[in-house]
Amino acid sequence: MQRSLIQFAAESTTKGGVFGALGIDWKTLVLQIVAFIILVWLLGKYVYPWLIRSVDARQAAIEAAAQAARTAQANAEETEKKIAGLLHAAQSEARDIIATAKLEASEALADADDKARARGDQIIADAQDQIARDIAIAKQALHDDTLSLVMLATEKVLGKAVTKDIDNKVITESLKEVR
Amino acid sequence: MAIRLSRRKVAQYFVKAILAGKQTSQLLHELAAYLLDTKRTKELELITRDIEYVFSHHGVVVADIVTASELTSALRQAISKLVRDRLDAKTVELRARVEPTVLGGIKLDVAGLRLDDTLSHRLTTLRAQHKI
Repeated sequence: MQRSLIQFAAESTTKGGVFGALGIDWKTLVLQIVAFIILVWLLGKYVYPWLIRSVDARQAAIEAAAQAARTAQANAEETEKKIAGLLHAAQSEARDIIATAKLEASEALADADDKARARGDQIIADAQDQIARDIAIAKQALHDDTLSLVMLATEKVLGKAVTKDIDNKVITESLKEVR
Repeated sequence: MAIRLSRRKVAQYFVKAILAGKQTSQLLHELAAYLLDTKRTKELELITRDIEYVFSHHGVVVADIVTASELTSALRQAISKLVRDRLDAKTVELRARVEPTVLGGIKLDVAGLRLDDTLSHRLTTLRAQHKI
């Protein structure tokens, strides 16, 4: 076996020099190099810039998205803070409103109580005045009735007591007074 | 249609005619006719008073008297004298009326002199004074 390999190597070296010894065809190699250079040039001219632009655009988009996400997060945090502040303010305002409402309700209750008490006092005073007026009217009526009865009785008595002689004397006195 | 005269002028005409000796009944007829013609019959009482007033200026007065009983002749004379003295009248005619409701005393009503000294008036005054 070892002998066969050594014989094959020796045969190849003797046919094409170093390249031949290495098994390389220099024409094919040059052609491949040129093709490779053309490929590199084509890639550098048309493909790589497009790829780089796409990558850059993609990266920019990613960065913009990341920036937007950060901004959105910052906005969200700020909004959250604002909401918290508003909530706190609303709670504080609600507490104030409740406290004010309680105070006003208490004052209204006290005011209503005062008014009711004053109204009650007024009603009592009016009733007392009315009673006093009624008593005065009753007294007046009693006085007038008594006076009428006294006058009626006097007239009755005078009607019987005044005789013609007495009447003549009364008339005479009246005439004297006129003179 | 008759001319519309004032009550005073009618009264003056009436008194002058009577004092001139014209018949009273005829004058009364004329007055009644005049009042009917001028549709002033409602003024009869006022004209009567005006006639009495005009008479009083001629020394003839009519005194309205209200008493509870008939006046004696002495009282009549006293009243006539009083009216004559007070009003300087020549003739006094008494027009007396009896009203038991006045109870006693006298009510005298004559032009220029008015007196109400009846017992009923005194009682009314007393009652008014004692009213609260």
